[in-house]
Amino acid sequence: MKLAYYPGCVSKSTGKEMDTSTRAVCRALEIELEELDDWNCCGATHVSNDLVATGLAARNMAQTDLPIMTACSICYSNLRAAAMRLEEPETLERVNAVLDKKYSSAKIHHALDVILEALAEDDERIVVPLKELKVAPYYGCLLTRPTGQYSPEFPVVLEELIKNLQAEPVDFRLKTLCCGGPIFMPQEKAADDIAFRILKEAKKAGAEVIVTVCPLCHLMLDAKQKILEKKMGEKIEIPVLYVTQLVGIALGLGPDELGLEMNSVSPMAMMEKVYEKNSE
Amino acid sequence: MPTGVYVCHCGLNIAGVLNMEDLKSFAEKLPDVAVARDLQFSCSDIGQEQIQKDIEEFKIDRVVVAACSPRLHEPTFRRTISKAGLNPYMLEMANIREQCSWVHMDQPAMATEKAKDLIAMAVAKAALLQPLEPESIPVSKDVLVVGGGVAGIAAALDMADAGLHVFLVERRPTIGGYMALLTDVFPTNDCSICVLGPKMSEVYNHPNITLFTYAEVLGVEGSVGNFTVSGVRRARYVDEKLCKGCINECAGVCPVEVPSEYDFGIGKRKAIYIPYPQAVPLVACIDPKACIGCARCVEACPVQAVKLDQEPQDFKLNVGAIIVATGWQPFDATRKEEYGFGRYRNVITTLQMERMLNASGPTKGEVVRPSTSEIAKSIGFLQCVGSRDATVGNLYCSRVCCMASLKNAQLVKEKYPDTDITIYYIDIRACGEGYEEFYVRAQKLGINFVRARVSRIEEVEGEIFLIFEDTQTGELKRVKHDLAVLSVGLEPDSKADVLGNLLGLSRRPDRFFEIAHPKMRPVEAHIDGVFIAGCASGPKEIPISIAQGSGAAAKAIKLLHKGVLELEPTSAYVDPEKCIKCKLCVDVCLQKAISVKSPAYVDEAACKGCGSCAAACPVDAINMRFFSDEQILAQVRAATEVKREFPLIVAFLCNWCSYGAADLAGTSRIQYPTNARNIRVMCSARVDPSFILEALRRGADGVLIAGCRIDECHYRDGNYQALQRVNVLKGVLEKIGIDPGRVKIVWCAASEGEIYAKDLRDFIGELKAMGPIGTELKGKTGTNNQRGQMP
Amino acid sequence: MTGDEQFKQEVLRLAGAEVLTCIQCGTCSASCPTAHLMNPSIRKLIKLCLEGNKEEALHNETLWLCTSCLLCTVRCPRGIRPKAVVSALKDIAEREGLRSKDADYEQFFLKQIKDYGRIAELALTGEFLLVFPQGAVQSMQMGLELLPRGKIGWEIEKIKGRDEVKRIVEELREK
Ligand SMILES: Cc1cc2nc3c(=O)[nH]c(=O)nc-3n(C[C@H](O)[C@H](O)[C@H](O)COP(=O)(O)OP(=O)(O)OC[C@H]3O[C@@H](n4cnc5c(N)ncnc54)[C@H](O)[C@@H]3O)c2cc1C
Ligand code: SF4
Ligand code: SF4
Ligand code: SF4
Ligand code: SF4
Repeated sequence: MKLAYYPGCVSKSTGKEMDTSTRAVCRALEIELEELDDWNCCGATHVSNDLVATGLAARNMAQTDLPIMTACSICYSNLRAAAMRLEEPETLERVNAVLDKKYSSAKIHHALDVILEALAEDDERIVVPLKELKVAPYYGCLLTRPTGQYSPEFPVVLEELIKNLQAEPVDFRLKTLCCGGPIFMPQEKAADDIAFRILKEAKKAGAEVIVTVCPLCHLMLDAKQKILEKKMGEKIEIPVLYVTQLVGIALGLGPDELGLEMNSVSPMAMMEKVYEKNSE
Repeated sequence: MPTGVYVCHCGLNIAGVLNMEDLKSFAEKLPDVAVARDLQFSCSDIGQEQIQKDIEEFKIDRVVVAACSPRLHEPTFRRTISKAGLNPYMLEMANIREQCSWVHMDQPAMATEKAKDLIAMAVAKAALLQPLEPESIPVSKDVLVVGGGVAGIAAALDMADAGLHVFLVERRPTIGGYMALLTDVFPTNDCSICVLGPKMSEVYNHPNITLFTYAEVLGVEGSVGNFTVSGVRRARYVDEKLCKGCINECAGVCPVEVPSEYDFGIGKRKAIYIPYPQAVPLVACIDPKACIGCARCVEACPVQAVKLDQEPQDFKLNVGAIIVATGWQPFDATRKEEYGFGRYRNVITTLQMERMLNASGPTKGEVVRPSTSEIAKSIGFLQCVGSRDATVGNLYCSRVCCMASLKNAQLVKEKYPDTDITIYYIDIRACGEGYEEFYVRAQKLGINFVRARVSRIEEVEGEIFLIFEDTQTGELKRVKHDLAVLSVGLEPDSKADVLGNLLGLSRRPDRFFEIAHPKMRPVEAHIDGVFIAGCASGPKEIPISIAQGSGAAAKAIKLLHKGVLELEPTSAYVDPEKCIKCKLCVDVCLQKAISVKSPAYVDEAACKGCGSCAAACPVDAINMRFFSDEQILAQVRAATEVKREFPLIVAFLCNWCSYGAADLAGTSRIQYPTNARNIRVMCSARVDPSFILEALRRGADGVLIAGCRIDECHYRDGNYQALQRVNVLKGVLEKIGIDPGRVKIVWCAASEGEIYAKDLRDFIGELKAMGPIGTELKGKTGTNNQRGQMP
Repeated sequence: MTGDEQFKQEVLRLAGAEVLTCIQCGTCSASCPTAHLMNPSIRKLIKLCLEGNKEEALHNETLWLCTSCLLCTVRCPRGIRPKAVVSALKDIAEREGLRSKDADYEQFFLKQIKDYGRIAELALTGEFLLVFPQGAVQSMQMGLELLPRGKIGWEIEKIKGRDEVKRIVEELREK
């Protein structure tokens, strides 16, 4: 299978581990990725004009005829929303008027659904089944929105994937609550409060690891975890893995390939436990 | 074909403006006119007698009355000539009052000129009139009622009492519909089954009702008066005649237990079951999906009624009318995932609440939390679940659920006065006799009301919390309740789809069956002989469902009680020689009156005479018995014979709205210029593009087509079809160099005389700006285009 | 109060005419993750727009507390997109040059896209701290986390199609 790959801006900075692990897992699953030519920023959540946001996405989508995969929920949501808006002839016309390569149509995937499609339950490539590992499936907001792909209220794809890796999804009440990430710079307190609520809830649910599908969620829950612990005066100490990292571990890929050393909360203890279970 | 022409003075109503002498002598000279007279009041006895005398004396065989609107006196004069031995359809009227003398009061000369054209047009049409015999066909006096809910029951009983024979077909093993499952019913809180039960038994015992339960309609053919209906009675594996309804014998030994659909999942039933103790017929039924075939019931039955080898039975009926009373189904609450129904045990629906409150229901009248079976101490009702909600595609209000929650809250409060009850609502809709009082009663009982649409229900350690904004205080809240009750809305019964397709019923955007007119014909379908009652045409409460059942019954009785059906002889007919079997007519006919058998064939009993098919037929294979192509073309030619003024407009007005509007302009004495020559057609869809081209070719400067307002067409979407045809024609005109603005289509309701006049004035202004027809061609071709040379 | 009709129409143009059909049910506000900090609530914000109350609709913290999570949009029973109303108001505020730390952050973001085609987080943060030095503590802490893990992108990557992107941002934004 061959897909166009849209890494998104964070792949160059705070989301490097997302990019690294996505490429590694796809390689392992024999999914060929062709990076989009000269891609631009999708605007994240900071372009308030719908048409401009649509135009930015359309430029990216117009670069290829292949289905497009991204590993970032924000990019994913933006591309999907734009593709929907571009179904209106009027929008299409206005946007194409400013584009060099014209947009006609696009199919958008998140790495999550690509992996789920490629990796069956009893796939023999799962060489390190994550036996008994308690995983909190954290969707965040934009993977499921706009609606039409997964249920925006009770999505279950992550649970499905977690089970396929032989791990145990915990019942995670706040799994679709927004992490606060989009406003963490100018509205630090508001964002911190939400992120900490999510961490606490994951802990209460008995999670040994939290899995995310969005680099911003990852930033809020992982990179900020120690800062939040200090600020709130409460320990969490739960590693937060990007979904491709979790899959990579099960596929037996090494920490380097998955960028595990880039995580703030070290997943090493958790991994040791997994390996132990497997050697039993 | 000697014609008699009668120009009416109508006192001074006409004669005060028009020159009667001039008109009379004009009429005398028209072709085939044997006698022309002016009469003081043609509708008076004296006037009518004069016409009758002339028929005798001059042997005239057709009559033109130039007087008031045919909408007023056409029936009168038809009777007049019929008494003198003429066929009643040998009459044509020229409307020189409402559409001439009353609207051109200050232009007597021009008005007289216009009246001449109107008379000439009528005489030209009259020359082509054919005697028509209203056909009457024998009809079946039997009626099919589909759906045995309260609406269907009401309809069946009324018709049976009036002497018609009723076949009542019910899909479930019992009649009664949803009403039979409810607890006490608003607005008086009397026990539902206590009032419905006797009616159900009456249906069962009525000599004029044949009841088929557990049955379905699978085929419908024919048309009004003579429908052939086929269907099947599914096997219930129990002999209806033998079963005594004791049920404990058989169900007692049955080892299979499944959730009961009649308790909406909170109670259980066996594989052999009776839906509820008051079911009619009181006969057991085996659920083939649940039954494991152990045959214990066969042995247990004291009268050997269980027949595991029972086969389904087909039935075939001939009925004159069909009443659709297929009701509703509850909105599937699992679709509102944020409320967690089906996921959180203490979230239930109002229907489950109804069953719990029901003394013979699964909890014997106790209101409990399903998770613990303890009595619920605190209850929240969430309104508008699945209604007024674009996210699930239901924009409509389900109309009964506010009242249902008010009722359930009251019943709970009366039974357990300490219960804390809150109703979360967007608007409380309590419109009906005694309904607002019912709301006040609930308030006085201490039930809390919070104006909020709950955004989500959350479950934490087995407790449920409602999350919402109290929009009256602006507070965000998270409130715990023992039980959350989702006030689910009403959707059309999806099992009625097959029937709807068989009958060709149309659906509104809300997916309920559409009625023929949203105000004036509340229980009629678009298809003749088919009626709709109860929730099949939209959510409604019991009293209205019953009223509609009775209403539909009255319509069916009116239709069939004579045993014969008089058909208006104004229908369409197909010339089989010309028909090329393109089926365009089939698509435009809303009545489904045209069958696809080759060549096309019009069922004249079903045809309403709109004429759209005649306009649609590309080879003119369809014509109308009244308002025929030839007659209309004759009117067009007469109107353009002498061009008496500029701009000259030929106008086609639909009988129902725009002709009415033009008449109203007259009765309101709205004054406008004389330029239009009006031709009455049944529907704007009757206007064949060839009529328009003929008018323009013969020198009319413009053609106006006026129909009912969009969505108000009396044939549903004839005006829309007209619009499409006109748009296509405009494209053609443009190609051949004629200003497409010369053809104008407008909409007005019968109440909009002023709008009709304004549209006409505007059009006259536009045509003046364009100049006489052909002006636009001069520039191009350099020739002086005269009448008769147009493409 | 007579409302600013032009302002109201502009919001409707940007966010959709269905905003007119709001029934003030509060589903949006009760769904919002930051609702407890918002004043006016997202529901009231919609009302302010419909009243043409430009002053109050533009000058509030609510606009900048929206995380763009779209839950309001998922749930609104009228098919309104309350988040699109927030976006419309931000767009209007930005065009009218209204300034605040939050507005500036968005401005810097858009400017980077316009200039480079991509976002360089480091540069963005730097620019933001110039107008909002209070953010320095958080940024320091984050930097200390990210730096040793190689997750700070030092270079500013510029794409080739910058002119095209600039056109997108400038021309599509106009009416
Ligand atoms: C929670 C709740 C409480 C309510 N309480 C009250 C109240 O207190 N007072 C009040 O006035 N109203 C109340 N109502 C409204 C009431 O239920 C309806 O007005 C009533 O049921 C309408 O009757 P119906 O005959 O139109 O439809 P139904 O009751 O739905 O009956 C239709 C029948 O047609 C059958 N059917 C469907 N399709 C086919 C088919 N293709 N072939 C054969 N048969 C078919 C069905 O099986 C059913 O038996 C309540 C509604 C709800 C949801
Ligand atoms: S009747 Fe009440 S609860 Fe039902 S849809 Fe209408 S407003 Fe909502
Ligand atoms: S005249 Fe109208 S109703 Fe009759 S067959 Fe033609 S389209 Fe149908
Ligand atoms: S959810 Fe929709 S209808 Fe309700 S208040 Fe918000 S915008 Fe208005
Ligand atoms: S998109 Fe914004 S306004 Fe809507 S729920 Fe999310 S944070 Fe609140």
